[in-house]
Amino acid sequence: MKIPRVLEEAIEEVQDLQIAPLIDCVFQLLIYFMVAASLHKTEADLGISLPGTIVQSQALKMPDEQIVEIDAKGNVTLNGRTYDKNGSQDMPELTATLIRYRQAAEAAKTKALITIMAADDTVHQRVVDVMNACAAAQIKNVTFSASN
Amino acid sequence: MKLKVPSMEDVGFQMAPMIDCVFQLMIFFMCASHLHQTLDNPKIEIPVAANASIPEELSDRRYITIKDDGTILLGGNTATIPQVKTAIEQAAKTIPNLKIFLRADKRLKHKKVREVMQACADAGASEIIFAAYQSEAR
Repeated sequence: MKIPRVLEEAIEEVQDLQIAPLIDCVFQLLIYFMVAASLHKTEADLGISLPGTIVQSQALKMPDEQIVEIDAKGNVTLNGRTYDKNGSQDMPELTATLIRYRQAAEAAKTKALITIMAADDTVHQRVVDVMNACAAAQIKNVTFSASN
Repeated sequence: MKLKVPSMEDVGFQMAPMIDCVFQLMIFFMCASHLHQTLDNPKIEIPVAANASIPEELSDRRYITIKDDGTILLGGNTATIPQVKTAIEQAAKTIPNLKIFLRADKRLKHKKVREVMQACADAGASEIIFAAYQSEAR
């Protein structure tokens, strides 16, 4: 029995893969996953490794130690002077002082050591700001005071 | 000399390689978005430090997450300070150069961070690394 030509064409049309809607779907998925992936931010290291916390009065016998104090309001004090009172995260004043301190320590062939003494209620971001300033000044030896 | 002129049919748009490329891109972004979900769970706000560096070596690390309410998460489970200390002690036995990667919320009070650091130091962890984003903007 011979199949009519009209029917043959209809069968062929049904059997052909429809590329256009497939590409539409794939592009929609591609755009979705591109947007989802671009939301991801990579977590970075601060570049400061801690040897652990120690009680200052016991083990720390570094002659070139500097203590950076952070109070509950986020004020940062070094050697009795408060730095970056405007609360800026970059802390340019502290960074400049720490760079000079590192250079002096290098000239004296000693290790530059920073001990961060933060109050109990200090927010973590402010502590990270100080560590960021240490990293900017290329000071690797940073530790924390065990007591506030 | 008689040159053969290519027929105009050859110029037609090739769908097959384009679909191949699109599928490859789709698989890549699917994997990337999956990683995003894994790393962002649980959701905390990591502090920002412009001088933080993207690590090249991620081995020998143990992750401790501290949420803004002070909840400590160790391997996805809630943990107390003594549990953290025990876990770090056990890890330190098998990993000589153990590094603690501390993911603390930026609004967290320093007291809690210090308690965790103290526990790590007591357990013999030699290195503590703080997590930070390099920039605020996405």
